Amino acid sequence: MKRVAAAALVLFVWATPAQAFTKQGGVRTMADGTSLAYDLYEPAGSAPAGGWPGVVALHGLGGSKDDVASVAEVFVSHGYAVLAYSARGSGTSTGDVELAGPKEVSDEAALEQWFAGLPDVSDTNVGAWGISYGGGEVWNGLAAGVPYKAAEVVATWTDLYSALWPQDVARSGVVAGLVGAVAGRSPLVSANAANAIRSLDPAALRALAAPRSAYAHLPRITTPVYMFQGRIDWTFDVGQALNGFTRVAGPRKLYIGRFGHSPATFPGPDAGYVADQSVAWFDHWLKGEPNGIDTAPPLTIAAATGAGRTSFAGLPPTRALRLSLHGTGVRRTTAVLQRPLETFGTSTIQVRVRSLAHYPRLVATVLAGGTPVTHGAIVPRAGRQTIRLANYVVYVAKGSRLSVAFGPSSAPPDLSYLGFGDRGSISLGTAELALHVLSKPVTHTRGSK
Amino acid sequence: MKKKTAAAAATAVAALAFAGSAYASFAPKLVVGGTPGGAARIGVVVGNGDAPTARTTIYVPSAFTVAAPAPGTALGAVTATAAAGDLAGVVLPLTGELEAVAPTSTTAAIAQTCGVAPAQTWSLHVSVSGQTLDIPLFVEATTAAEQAAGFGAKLVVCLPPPDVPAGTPGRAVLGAKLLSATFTSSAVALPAAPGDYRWTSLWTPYVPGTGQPDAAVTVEAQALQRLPVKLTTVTARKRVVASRTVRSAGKKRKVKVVVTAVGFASAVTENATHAATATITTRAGKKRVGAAKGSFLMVGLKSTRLTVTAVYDSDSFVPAGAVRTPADLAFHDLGAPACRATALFQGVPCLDATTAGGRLADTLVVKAYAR
Repeated sequence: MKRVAAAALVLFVWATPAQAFTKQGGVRTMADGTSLAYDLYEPAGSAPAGGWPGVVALHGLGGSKDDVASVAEVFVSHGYAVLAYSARGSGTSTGDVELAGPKEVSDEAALEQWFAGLPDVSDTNVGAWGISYGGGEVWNGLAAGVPYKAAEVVATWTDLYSALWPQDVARSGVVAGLVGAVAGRSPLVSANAANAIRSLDPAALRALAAPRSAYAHLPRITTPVYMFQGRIDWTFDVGQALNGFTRVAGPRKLYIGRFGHSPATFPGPDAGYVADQSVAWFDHWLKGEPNGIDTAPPLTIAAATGAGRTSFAGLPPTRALRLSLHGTGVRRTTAVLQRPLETFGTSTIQVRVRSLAHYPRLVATVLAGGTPVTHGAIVPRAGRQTIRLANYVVYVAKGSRLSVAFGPSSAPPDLSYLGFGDRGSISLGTAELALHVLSKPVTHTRGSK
Repeated sequence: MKKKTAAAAATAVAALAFAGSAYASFAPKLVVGGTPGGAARIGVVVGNGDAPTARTTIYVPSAFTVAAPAPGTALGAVTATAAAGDLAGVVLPLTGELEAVAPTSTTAAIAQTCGVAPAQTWSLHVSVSGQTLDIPLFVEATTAAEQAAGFGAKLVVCLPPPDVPAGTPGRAVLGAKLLSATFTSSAVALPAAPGDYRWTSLWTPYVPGTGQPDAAVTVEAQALQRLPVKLTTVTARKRVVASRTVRSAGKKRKVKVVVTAVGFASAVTENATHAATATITTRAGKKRVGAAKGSFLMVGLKSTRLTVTAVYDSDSFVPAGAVRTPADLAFHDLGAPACRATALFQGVPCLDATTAGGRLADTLVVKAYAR
């Protein structure tokens, strides 16, 4: 019960090849006196001319450098020096968590400079790898001009506001999980907890999120970035990575896989592929190896089951299905699906709100046979309303019937939008689901065609 | 400027709503369901604005059997909701299992603090997103006076205070205040004999913000089970002869047609008295032909399947989350007038009584007259 949702602390475990390396711990003191604990990994033997290419590894919220040890060991075993450090307010580091804000970015810049200045580490060929909160730090570091030569971000955000407070409604379950993970070490989070969980003051939340989001700076980022995002990740949806994929100026690659925050896990069943791709990306951009990763199709989506993957030259082709929702109650169903579908893109629900009283949020949860497909929420007003739904890649088998549950919270077992025990009422009229799906599903099951 | 003032006021109201410093009331509810011979399903509800509960004791009527399962036995499903004060009052939906457990030093300490001498220790083992919480539920033997009052066992739950300052030893995790819980216990078996069974419960809240139980505010809440609950349907057929004009070889002629008129009437009874509320739907085949009473004609059919469904005493639910699901324990609130203060409790106010609801279905085949 210490954390509401497994949304924050992410322990990324990769199988590590057994190759010799050294690991040395230490502490670096930042300009404001904050002490950051670090582990420095170096391959055994003499460094090549110009030093080892380097990777800065950044952990998730509520975690520490120890959580990325297995990632560091993979890179060091492939000939990289790795610096893993506990961000301020994390692990044994001092200071306060400020949600990948300017102070964390300043730390990142200072540590990258120190790392690149080590005698055995390359001055110029240093990349960054970050997961979740660490991924946000990497994006924000790139936006601030930290001179990484290549970057990899896993299950993270580019626009914090749209990730956590889409349409001005907090994903209260997710935000509560994040708050619970770090409130004790973050006066900033504690001070903003009630507003963040209940989205009481959207303007203040936007002001908090803006300097912690790389979105506005993406078109200026020329560093090669490999984005790894989960198919179904209720904390950071696929749209967060698509922002990066469609907006950065430099080389980019996106893998949408089977890992992530709740309801997915870290690592996923495709951890081996993710590790191989991670190493290959840095091998190309930091070591200059012509391994072809830069010319391969830039976007790959893993199938929902099995080891299948489908790659695309750009954004995958999609189509919009317009599905009538039968009934006028709070739970409605579509007709039986005549063929399988796989969601991709921002779907919407149009719903007419006839009347309401003390109903601060209207949450729509789309389910297929009791399994959440997507969700979204609005601050309801009378009249026709549009609810934008989160972008997850969910396979729905032929013969399924989709249902939409409306309410003050997401429908079980979806914990993204938790309620507050409000006692209001709402009357809804007609509703229509516009579901964006892949033109051709990437998941193939027996009888799915 | 007006808009800004309104927004500020709304923020202030919302902030007060979860500040948890002043509770207006303490009016818990007890709900008990289950089918004769089966396991009891017990629900409790506390208002979000009520003072936090320190202790509740549920008195099991003597007619119910309370078994002593071995530690490690899973007894049934649990759903619960709790408002997390540390997380802006967000309501956490908790799910899990009721288990019989061996006493531990932790459960023994809670029992001692709470003044319970457990005959058995059960645990409401619940979780949300993989984070678990174990709430001990003690089974305690009844005293001679309690037995004389008709009770065979007591189920006691003591909860930690949620609204004391963070860091206070023994404070509820996340400042969570229990709002509702529903659990099934296969160790509590309903009697097979018909009867009106009245469960009762005593509830003591905390003095807000102190962590001290407020014995002076102890209240009683009851649940009435009228067993068995039955759906009965009677039908009556009538042979009706009508005529129909048909064209044969270019000529019109009248032919005799036999039609079956079917009348039906259904009712839900609880221990042979009508349920407080019931909504009945009757279908012949797939077609809705009426509610509790009605009639329809069978034309050109040899038989039809009459399906009667009844939803009774289900105008309220014990919350298992913010969104209702069909699995939630339904009840009808009988209110304070139906709460009969237990003399044993010597003047403790009896605030509420409920009766559990549910859904029943009956299917019968009606044959048509052939000729």
